[in-house]
Amino acid sequence: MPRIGPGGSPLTRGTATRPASDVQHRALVPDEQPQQLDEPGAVESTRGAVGRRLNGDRIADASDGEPLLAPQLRAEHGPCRAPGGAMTEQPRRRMRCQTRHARHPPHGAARCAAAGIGEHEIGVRPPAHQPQQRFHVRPLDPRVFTHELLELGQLHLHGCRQAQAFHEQFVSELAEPIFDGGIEILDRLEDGERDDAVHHGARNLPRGALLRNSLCLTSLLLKPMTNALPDLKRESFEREALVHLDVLYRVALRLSGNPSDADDLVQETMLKAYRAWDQYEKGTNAKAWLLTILRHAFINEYRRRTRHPETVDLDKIEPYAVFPEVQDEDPQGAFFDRIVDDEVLRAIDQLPVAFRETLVLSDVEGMSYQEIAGILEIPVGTVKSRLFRARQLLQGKLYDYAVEMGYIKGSPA
Amino acid sequence: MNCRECVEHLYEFLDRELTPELEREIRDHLEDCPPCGEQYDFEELFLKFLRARCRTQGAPAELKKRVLRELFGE
Repeated sequence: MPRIGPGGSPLTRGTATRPASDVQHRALVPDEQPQQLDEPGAVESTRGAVGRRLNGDRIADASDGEPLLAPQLRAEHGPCRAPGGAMTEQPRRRMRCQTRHARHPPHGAARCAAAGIGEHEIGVRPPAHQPQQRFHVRPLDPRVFTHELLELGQLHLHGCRQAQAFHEQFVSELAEPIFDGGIEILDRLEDGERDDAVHHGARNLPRGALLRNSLCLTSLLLKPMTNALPDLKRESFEREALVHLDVLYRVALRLSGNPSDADDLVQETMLKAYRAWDQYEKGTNAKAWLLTILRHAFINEYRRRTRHPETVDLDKIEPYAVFPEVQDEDPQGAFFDRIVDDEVLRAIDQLPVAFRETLVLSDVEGMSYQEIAGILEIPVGTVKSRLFRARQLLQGKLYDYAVEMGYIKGSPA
Repeated sequence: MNCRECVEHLYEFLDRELTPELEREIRDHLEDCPPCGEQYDFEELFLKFLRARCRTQGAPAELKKRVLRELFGE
């Protein structure tokens, strides 16, 4: 059963600071006065849907003074209205649930709903400079909604503008434009994860996903995106991706070996990530996702540049344990303290790339074996053994260096 | 658990990547075996040292600007 998260409607929460929120809140109150629905910009948010006639069904002008919302709709939701017409957040939410439940007597009703759309006349109040128009919304195309049909109530609850834009962009053009366009489609709030997704600005479903998931359509939520769409994307990208810039840079630097290449690598990674941001499932593991992109970019570049990629037989490398060497003289490893940063980094850079990347992801960036396995596309067991040998190899290099510098006497060779 | 096995799993132990049972076995062994305990301390120190030495560096401010410019036209 769809539910709204305990913290309240995430739709409301997630958009509280954006202009779109007003549209949404208001749209949630179906019997509100048309004047309150009016909002310049909000209407434009449907990307021209308002100004255009659907099916040539222009039926009324502002001058005629008729109510904007269909009478049926008001009758349906009338009892939910608080005295005086003002509704707090809480009743609105409750109302939405109740309405949804009430309108959800098992599947049959939902099926009928689409046909119902055609019966409803919905009104949109345009900005003052445009004449008022009303539109018929045609029934949803049954070829699209093969399993369950869109619940009419949802559309109405979220306002006629969205319903109209939905119809125009989605139904008539079969799914594609809507994913790039002015409306974001959310699956029904089946569980807490959805709430979260919505809270984080929700994701655009990938192209075609709606068709595959059409079983979920009974309680589809529509959310106006308005002009804030790029900002939403930017907002979530900044919050989840850009915060990892330092990590990416450090890894890029160790992989590529020089600052200029590292810059380019990070830049390319961020660009690719931003382009593919819709494919990233928000709130999962952005760091690992970004590092995977970075590594692919590195490998491609590396292959392009070098005809003879590094051919080190990792199995032939025989690291030795340093501890037995220093056990008597310096079991506390005090000699490490004398080795400066640059020397450590130089020693890491000398490791074979397969060891280097594993070690950097684990010991510098603190990622788990599982995460590393995912990024490097190798089994966890391989991560384990590479890490073991990479650490020993590095220890050996640092130990040799320390002996050379006289930081430690070392055992006679 | 003998010393060889303990040393073999030492890194996984430090990385907290072992099953609870194995982790317990290692911990018990480390308590009972001073040389292995010493090696544990040494390896732990080494990993801390690595982390401290390698994380001082972050992305240069210029790169941050460049990325923002590229992404958002700023």
